[in-house]
Amino acid sequence: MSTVTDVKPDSTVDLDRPWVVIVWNDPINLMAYVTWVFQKLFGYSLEKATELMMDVHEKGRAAVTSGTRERAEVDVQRLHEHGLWATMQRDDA
Amino acid sequence: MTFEPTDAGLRLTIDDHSRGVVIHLLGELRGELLQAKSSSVSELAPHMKRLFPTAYHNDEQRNEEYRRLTHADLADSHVSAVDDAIALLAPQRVFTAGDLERFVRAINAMRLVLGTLLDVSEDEPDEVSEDDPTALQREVYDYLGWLLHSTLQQLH
Repeated sequence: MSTVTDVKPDSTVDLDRPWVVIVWNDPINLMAYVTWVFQKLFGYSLEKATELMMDVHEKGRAAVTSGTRERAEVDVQRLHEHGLWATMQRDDA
Repeated sequence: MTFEPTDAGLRLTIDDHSRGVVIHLLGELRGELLQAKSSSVSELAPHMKRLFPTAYHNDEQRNEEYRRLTHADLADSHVSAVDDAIALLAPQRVFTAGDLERFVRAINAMRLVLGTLLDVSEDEPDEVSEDDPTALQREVYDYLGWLLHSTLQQLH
C-alpha cells in the first residue's frame, strides 16, 4: 500500500487551492464495484470511471473529485458509505 | 443465473442454504455496527475500523472533528443498507434497480469485514487449501465476491 504525502499545516497553504478527494487501493474491493461507485456517486462515464479505477489499482491512488473543503467532506463520506478507502487533502499541484 | 427476470423486477435465485448463510452473516454485521455506533473508532477491532476510515491524512485534530460529526451517521447508513439487504434476501422477493444498489453496498461491506478478518492480500491463491484453518471463511468470502459481481452485472 502506498504511503501518504504529508499535508502542510494550514498556516503555510494557499487558501485558494482546492481540496482533492483521493481513493486508495485496497486488496478487497472488486474493480467492477469501484468503477460502479465512481459512476454512481460522481456521474462519470464508464470510460472515465474505469480509468480512475485502474489508476487506483495500478498506481495505488487516484484523485476522483476536487472542490471546497465542505464538498470534499461530503464526497469522502459518500465514498466511506460505499466502503471505499477515501481521504481528502489540499491539492498539491 | 443469479437473478431471473419477472414482470415486477429481478428475483434472486440462490439456494436456501446460501441465502441463510448470507442473512446470518449480515445479522452479525448489524450487531457489530450497532456496537460500533456507540464506540469511538480507536476502540473498534480492525475489521470494523475498515468501515470507518479516517478522512484527513496526518491531521488528527480534523479527523476527530470529522468523526464527531459523521460517525453515527455513517454507522446508521451501514445498518440501513444491511437491513435492506436482509429484507431483500426473503424468498421470492423482487429487486428494483434501487434495491440492487442497496444490496451491493451491504454485500460489499460484509465482504470488506470478512476480507479484513482473513487478512486478504492482492496475491490470494485461486484455490483454497483444505489444510487452511480458515478454508470455510475463505469459501464464504469467495461466495460473497461472486454474489457481488453477479449483482453488479445487473446494474451495468
